[in-house]
Amino acid sequence: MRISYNWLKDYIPLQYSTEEIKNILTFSGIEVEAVEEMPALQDTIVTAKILSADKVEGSDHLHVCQVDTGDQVHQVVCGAANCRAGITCVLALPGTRLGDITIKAAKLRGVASNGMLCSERELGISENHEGIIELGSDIALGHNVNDLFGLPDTMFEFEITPNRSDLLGLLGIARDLSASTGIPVNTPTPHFTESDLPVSSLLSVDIADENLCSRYTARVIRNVTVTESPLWLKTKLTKIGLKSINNVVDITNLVMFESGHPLHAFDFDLLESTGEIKEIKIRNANDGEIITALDGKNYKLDINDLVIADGVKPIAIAGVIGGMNSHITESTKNIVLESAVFDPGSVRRTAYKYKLTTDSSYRFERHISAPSTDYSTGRAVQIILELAGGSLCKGICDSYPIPLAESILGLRPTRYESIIGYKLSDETILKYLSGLGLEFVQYGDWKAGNITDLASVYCYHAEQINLGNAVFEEKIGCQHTMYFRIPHYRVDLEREIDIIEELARLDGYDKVPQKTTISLIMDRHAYEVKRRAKSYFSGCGFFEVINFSFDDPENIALLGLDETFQEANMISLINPQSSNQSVMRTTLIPQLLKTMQYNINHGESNVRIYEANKVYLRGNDGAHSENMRFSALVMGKNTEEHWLEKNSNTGFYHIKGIVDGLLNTLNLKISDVQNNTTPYLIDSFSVKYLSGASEVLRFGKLKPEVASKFGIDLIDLKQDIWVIDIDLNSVIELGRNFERKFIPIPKFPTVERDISFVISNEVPYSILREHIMKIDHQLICSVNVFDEYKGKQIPEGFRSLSLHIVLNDSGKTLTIERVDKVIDTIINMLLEKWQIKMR
Amino acid sequence: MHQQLLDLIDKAQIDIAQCSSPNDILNAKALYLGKKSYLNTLFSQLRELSAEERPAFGQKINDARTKIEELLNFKEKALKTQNWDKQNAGVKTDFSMPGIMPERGGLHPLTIIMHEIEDTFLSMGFEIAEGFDIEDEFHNFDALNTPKDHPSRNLADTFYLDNGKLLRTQTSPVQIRVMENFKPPIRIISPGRCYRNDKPDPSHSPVFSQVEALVVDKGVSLADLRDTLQNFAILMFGPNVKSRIRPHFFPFTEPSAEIDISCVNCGGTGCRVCKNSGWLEMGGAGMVDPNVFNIVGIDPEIYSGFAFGLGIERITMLKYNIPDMRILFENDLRMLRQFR
Repeated sequence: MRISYNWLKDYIPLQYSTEEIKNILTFSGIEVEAVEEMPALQDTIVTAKILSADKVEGSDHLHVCQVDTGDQVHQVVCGAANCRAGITCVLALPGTRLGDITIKAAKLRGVASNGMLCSERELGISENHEGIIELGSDIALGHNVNDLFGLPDTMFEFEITPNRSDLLGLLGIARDLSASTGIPVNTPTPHFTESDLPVSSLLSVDIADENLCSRYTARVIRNVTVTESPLWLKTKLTKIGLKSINNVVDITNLVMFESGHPLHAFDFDLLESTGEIKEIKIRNANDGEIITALDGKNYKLDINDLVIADGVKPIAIAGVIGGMNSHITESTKNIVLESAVFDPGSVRRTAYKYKLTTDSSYRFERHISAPSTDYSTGRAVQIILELAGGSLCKGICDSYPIPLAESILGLRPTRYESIIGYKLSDETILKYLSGLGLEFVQYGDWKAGNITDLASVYCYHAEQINLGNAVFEEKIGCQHTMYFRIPHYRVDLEREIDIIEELARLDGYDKVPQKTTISLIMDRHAYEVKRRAKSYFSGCGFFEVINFSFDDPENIALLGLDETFQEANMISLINPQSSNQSVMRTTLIPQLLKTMQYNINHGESNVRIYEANKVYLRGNDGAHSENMRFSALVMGKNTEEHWLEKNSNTGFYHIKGIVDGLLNTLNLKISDVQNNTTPYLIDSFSVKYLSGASEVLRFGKLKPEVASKFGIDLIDLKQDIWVIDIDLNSVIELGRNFERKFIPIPKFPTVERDISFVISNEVPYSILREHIMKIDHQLICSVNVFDEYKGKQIPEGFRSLSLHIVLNDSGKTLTIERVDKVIDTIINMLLEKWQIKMR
Repeated sequence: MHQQLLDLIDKAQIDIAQCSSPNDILNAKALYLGKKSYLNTLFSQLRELSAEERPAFGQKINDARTKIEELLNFKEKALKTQNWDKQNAGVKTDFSMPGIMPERGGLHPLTIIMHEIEDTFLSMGFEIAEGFDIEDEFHNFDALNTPKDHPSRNLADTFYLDNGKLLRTQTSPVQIRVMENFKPPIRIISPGRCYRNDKPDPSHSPVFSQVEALVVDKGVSLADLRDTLQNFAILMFGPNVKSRIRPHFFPFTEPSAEIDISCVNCGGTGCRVCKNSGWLEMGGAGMVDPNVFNIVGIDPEIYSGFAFGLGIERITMLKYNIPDMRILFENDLRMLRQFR
């Protein structure tokens, strides 16, 4: 729903800025979907009267006008169709800025023009650009127009939740704002005088089914003057996007937006009758009955549609749209003013069936309360009499078969606390609820549902409070409850919990204390890394083993590690159970080798094992560190033996693949890979991965002489043992802040190219790859080696490499020329840098 | 000539229908569409026709050609499909030969159980807190309200280290460290290794694992402990398991209790596993002693809490029917393979 801030201020004197009011509304549950500022217009935009308008020679639409601004006459060329002498309009003088354009004195078709006559769109008050604005003739000339158009103003677009039909009028919104801000609402009081002619002598109303129409009221006003609406009324409607029709129709719309209750006016004289007086019947349509609606379209109705009919024919689709056959025109003299309540379901079905959603159906669908017809009729009558004159018939045709029962609901402040989580004082509750129009009735004992007999909830507490006793002896057995009379327009308040919601909303959800149940003690990232690493290694065929935290210092010494891990830095037990369990382990590897040996002795030839556990290092002054390590051993075939396929021995690149796969699983990229010396590994097969200066992991082939010290004779077994040793703590820390991000799937096809060349063994693949990628990071998506060849036809010290290069442009399809150019650049770079030979 | 073309198509249709091998198809292709085919000779005759007749007849020849090509392609596809079906239908598969399983290892059974326990508690809104294996006397004993001369402090029970510290005898020091560093509400479990100077035997190991739970908040009672225990028992051992607590003594809880669950082997009727009692002892529990709260600076008048501890080895042995705790630390692949 679109509303004007200035119009809203008619009902509640708000002083808030746009931002402030937006916040207040949002936090009281009225979502502001859009805000549109309508700035004040410059003083160079003034009221002016067209004295003369003559055709410009050679143009079919331009007029040259002499325009009077009171103290001066300006010559202006105007192209609007409604431009004519005698009308008062809005003139933008040269120098005025309107949006992006500046009005300048200019010549059109050789005729001097000193300004522009403006349309509503040009002034930014509506989308209407059909012609120039026509003001009434009583407007003073040469004046700034801001007051006329209520500028500056702010337009809000609200999203009203379907339960809040009371917010579909400005008064409802004002009421809600009043409850949250404490600023009182100015509700206009309808006042008018009736003539002596009773309405019942002219019109009768009959509801066929009270389930479809719970109330129908009609008033008759005679001898009205239907004419154009005054500017203030037009402006109000224009700003919220409605088209001005005539004063009577505009008033019904005005009152609808004010009260939230749709109204409709019929031309009394166009109603046909079968009897003495005119009749209005609210009945189901006859199958096949046709009505021409106000949108100019014909609707063929059926028995499920509710219509308003006169004695002969339908004159409106109830709650949805009026009929052409009875609508108000400038020749209308006598009118019938309808204010009624139709069944939401019926209105919704009909509106949906005919794809006909109107301001009226939108409101009826959301359930409007029957008593609200009183205000809307009264208010419309008042304004019609003011603006269109006429005389109001005495009384009202009111068919209201089952009047709405009064609703009184109880609220337990203690219940508020247990549902919302904090206490509200009785005073605060009273303040908010009376702001919403709920009337406090009395204190009492708790009883659920609508209270029809107030005496039934009267209790000791109520008695004491009603006597004015703030302090009194607590008596068990009654629950402190406040009873409220629910205003008819709050159809959504049916239970205690609905009132609790209102209170929580008005006091602000930000007041709800945030309860803590989780203190964020857990290191979830570390937990995740440990789990992932273990499950990854299990997936690679490894078995987890668990060894004691104690070890034999002599076992550890066998690895020949540097002194950090040697006995001086080990923490010893004062009371070990045996000498081979006398220190806290500084590495997991010796026990893994023991486990390996145990299993070899039991006939295993393919062994993949790991342990993920702590190692313990002595620190200074009694301090120590406990670090998570992840260590693994591999011996034997790369895959399990099988009758169908032969399997190969596990080699360096299998191990590197396992390690790289782990890093990949953990979202880590480590490119600093170095050959290193590890005392227990063979130098030529020993690698470490570094991040900055610190080592993340190392792996390599175990020296046979080390293996033999653990009782494993690799020469005899004809086997290799590979060792992986990972610093899990640093793996955890490296990946701590990584967040996986989706990379869009290429929209255009990728192009793949293979190149093969001979290059010196001295050039590492990673350097090669890096240099190729650098050629064009945008286009080259990946570079992968798919073949390496040494031997026949390749000189000693060289190898042939075959690379698979994938290219893609995220913006367009790659042309062969572009691909060729990139590949040529790559080859030239390789030639220049490393003197490769293409194959 | 029009009639000749129709006849040609008819003849081609019959010939192509009789093709029974890829070779037949090739021959038919040569015969009807090849250089020396009738259609080709017709093409060469085109120039003898008048300029008006030529396009229409040329079109006819092309139509005939397309038609024959379609027939050939259709037949070729049909033959290939036939062949494919024949190949697959002819295979005799010994379904009893073993399949090729992808490589897979496994977690140690203790880890499997630990993960299950962790997941069970995580699902109940607990967090996991870890601490040090190497602890000081304060966190392992003093802060847990253990008297200075309590026998558990003996060398025969606790491993002491040459740096003045000791190996924790339970994971309770983690609770102390958490309570020192975090304000309630606290809802944690602390899984981890513990050490006691017990000689390895079927039911003892100097290194073992525990998981402890600690809940500290306003209004936590023994009833909450019972609720958590029962939920844990059901999630770990199934919907029919019952739990109970029996009075006991621990220095750091008051009241203290031991936890039993109904025997998972016999269901409570009595058997060898539960020594005919129908109940299995699972660990210790109780309400956190006010002295412990005072030490860590939590007001016992405002907060209360419960704690309990469970032995992972015992639960693992019960769940997998492992008779001797030492089996768990041998790392024999023949045992480990059973749990992949």
